[in-house]
Amino acid sequence: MSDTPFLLAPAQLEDAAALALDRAKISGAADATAEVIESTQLSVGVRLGEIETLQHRRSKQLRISVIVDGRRAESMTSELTPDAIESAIEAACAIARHVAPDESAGLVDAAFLARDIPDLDLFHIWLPSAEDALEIARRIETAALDGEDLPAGTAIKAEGARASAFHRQLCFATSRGFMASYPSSSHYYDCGVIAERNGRMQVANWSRTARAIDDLPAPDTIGRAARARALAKLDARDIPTGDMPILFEGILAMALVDPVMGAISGEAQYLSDGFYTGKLGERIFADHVSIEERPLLPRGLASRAFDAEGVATVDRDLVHRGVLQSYALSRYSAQRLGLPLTGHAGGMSNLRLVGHNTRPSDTREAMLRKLGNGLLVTDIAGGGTERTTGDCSFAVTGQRVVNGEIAHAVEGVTIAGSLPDLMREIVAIGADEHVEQSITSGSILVGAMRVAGR
Amino acid sequence: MTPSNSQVETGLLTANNLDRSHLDTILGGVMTRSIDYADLYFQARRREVWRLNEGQINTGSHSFRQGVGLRAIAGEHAALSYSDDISLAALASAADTTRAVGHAGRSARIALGNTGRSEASDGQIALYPMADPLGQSTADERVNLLKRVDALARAADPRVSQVTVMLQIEQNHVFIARSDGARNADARPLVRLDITVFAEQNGRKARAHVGDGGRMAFEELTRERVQAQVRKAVDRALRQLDARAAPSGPMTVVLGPRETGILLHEAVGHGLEGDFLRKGSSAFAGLVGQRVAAKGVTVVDDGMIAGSHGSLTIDDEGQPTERTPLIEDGILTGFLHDLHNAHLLGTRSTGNGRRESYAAMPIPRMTNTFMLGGSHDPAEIIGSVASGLYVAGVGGGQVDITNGRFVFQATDAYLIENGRLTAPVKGATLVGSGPETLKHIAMIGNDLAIDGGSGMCGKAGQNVPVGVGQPTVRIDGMTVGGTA
Repeated sequence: MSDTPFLLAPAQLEDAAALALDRAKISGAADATAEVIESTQLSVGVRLGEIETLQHRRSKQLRISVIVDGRRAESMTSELTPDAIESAIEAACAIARHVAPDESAGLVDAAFLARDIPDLDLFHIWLPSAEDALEIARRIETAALDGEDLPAGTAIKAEGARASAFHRQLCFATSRGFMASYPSSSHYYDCGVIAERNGRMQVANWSRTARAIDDLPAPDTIGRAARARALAKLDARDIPTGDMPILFEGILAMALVDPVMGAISGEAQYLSDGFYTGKLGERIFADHVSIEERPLLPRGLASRAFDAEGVATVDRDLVHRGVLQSYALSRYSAQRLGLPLTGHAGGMSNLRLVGHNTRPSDTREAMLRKLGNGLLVTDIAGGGTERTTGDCSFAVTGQRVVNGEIAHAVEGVTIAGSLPDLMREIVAIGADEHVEQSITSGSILVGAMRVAGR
Repeated sequence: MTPSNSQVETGLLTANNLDRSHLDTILGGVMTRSIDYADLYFQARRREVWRLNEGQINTGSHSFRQGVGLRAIAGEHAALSYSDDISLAALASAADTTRAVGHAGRSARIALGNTGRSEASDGQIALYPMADPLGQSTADERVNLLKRVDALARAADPRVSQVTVMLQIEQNHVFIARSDGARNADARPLVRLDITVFAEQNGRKARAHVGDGGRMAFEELTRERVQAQVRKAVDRALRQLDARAAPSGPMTVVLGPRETGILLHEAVGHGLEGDFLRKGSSAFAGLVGQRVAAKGVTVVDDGMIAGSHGSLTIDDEGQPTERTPLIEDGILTGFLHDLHNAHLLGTRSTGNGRRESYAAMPIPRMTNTFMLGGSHDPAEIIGSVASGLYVAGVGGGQVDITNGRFVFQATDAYLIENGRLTAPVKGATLVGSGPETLKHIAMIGNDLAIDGGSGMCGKAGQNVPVGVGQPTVRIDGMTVGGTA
């Protein structure tokens, strides 16, 4: 097996990007950006000890964005031949002719582009053979199926275990002279387990992702975690309708933070559409809570030295001690709002929900005691937050907690409230921090929400 | 083959210096003793998207993606290798990697495929126009449609503060070559119009979204059809301005017709997909022949509804789509199958083998899933409820197939008080249990309508267009997740 996961040399990506920018200029696009990506993936899934799926994936694409007389258009092609690039640019320029000119459209000035791009340690090659990956997936599944003795009448079934190796290289270039490329990797283990008792099944999944295979926990821990979570859901029942405090597991933080990020986006500001419009400098969270953004974290799953427009990223607190410090802006929204660039084209990087009152003793057990009588939410099965108003309603599963102790599993209920109110009234953040993709958070204790059950 | 089908084949094979004999060679090479079945899925998809924001066409995009996926099946095992280069070298390399699945543990050899006609698309009834919707209209016509939507919405009511419109037009060519010799082509158009209306009054803000479209010609987005969609979006946004908090707890729910069919998609559809059945992970496994819904409830999956988003002349394994009864008069009767799971279960494909693209494995999926109409007048159904919730519009839904717990969001709803619709309420999540909730259907309306315009369904990371449908139904005792 070769020692690179890629078929294209980095120079070939750069040549394709450069060619695209040249052709765009000839076609009348004064400004253009080109992004070329190649990615490869090997994933192996097992069920009951045997291969269920074996997938080899390799894809590449060029995305070109042109600005012709203030008119923006984009084009994407999976073919990188000069002819295909030419057609893609023609298509983009043809569309641009029908787009309205927009004085805020444009490229980032050279002064704000990332220079001295740091190495964020994002690329760690792992090229397992199909047999190697199969063996790992088997170990994950074995740990899920062969755990400690089960209570009478309880069965564990395999839903499937998977191991995946993913590598990507990206080149981004603009007609203002920016060109940068870097490779990255992202490997994962994943397991689904079904627990069954009295003819009722409950499924749980557990997965871990890391830039380097050495940063992933031992495969059997994945299987054990999925097993424990499925068993914990057995004998779930609904509970009476009423108001009670809610403790969200840290793994669910994104469900609460993602709508917040949407509401502080530049688009929500200039369209005046969102529950945090015009709130810059105001208190939007409890005063003991901050949201840190750390784009330059080595090996971070959402780390990046520059955003999707080439703007250098910087560490910042988006929310500091409850006060909104910054919107999340692209060049376009910054221009519209007359605000400085923030490096958020293409979204957020690594986020961490920080509780300033959190002590090391605020373990999961301590958080359950703080919850007292309420609901621990472990899964969000559906629902969401209305973008304009922030009203939220989720279908959840979890555990009924009485006097700080888990009483029984809960399913078939919803929780509802106002997300901005909940964020202002966060009671505590646990020390039981969990990293889930781009967000790190301990468990989150909020005030009363309406629980709808029987 | 129809001329159009041979054009699809030419575009995918000949244009890339391939012919059928190359495919025979590649498939023959994959079909070693340990491999039961293999197929090649060639695809080229061209898509154009236009966006209007703040009264202006503010951007547009074009994309072209093509590639080929090679799948091999050995017993319960499946391998997929794909490339976005369509070339003999790429096919040979894919063949090398997929053959590996045959070495990894074996079960008895099974015969897959050869269940449909070898040229399934020959003489199929045309469910959608073969002509390319991207070639049927000019950029000016597309842009004018977006501007017309914007103008109509703004003219409809002074409280409309903002409008965003997205138009997506796609042509998707596929050619499927199977190891049993079947060769099928399909040209699949897709048109989609998304309208979001923002309304504002006395500092209160609200928004509403509607989507329309299908596998159809661009011209089918007629003036009247677009006008009706705009009206719907405006009305919903205005209602949300006045909405009060939604109620919470168990109550009688009346689902209006059409898009509320998401109930069936989540509550029963997914649980009847053959892969979950084979693994025994569905709450419906073992319930065939048993009552899972009230008398009078008949649910089908029908991939042959002309023009619908979820329809396919052939599925992604080359099988003609069908009308599959799932629940008949309340009794569970059918499941949805692709080739692989059907054969492992000793049954036949129902034409529900679908894949998002050449880069994804085919799995059993729904097409258009709906409940047949009953005998009640919708007004009579509403009139029968002393206190409850009426749901006219819905957002997304999910289901946990192992226990049938499903959820969907009501985005346009009213209180029912003493048999009449009264105050509009805010969005809320509704939850229930698949094998239980349908038993509590008390009345079925005579107003079946199918929403073939905009549904997308996600499963195992793959998104495919689907249709849903339902008449007005009354369900006693659903849990509504509001705050009041």
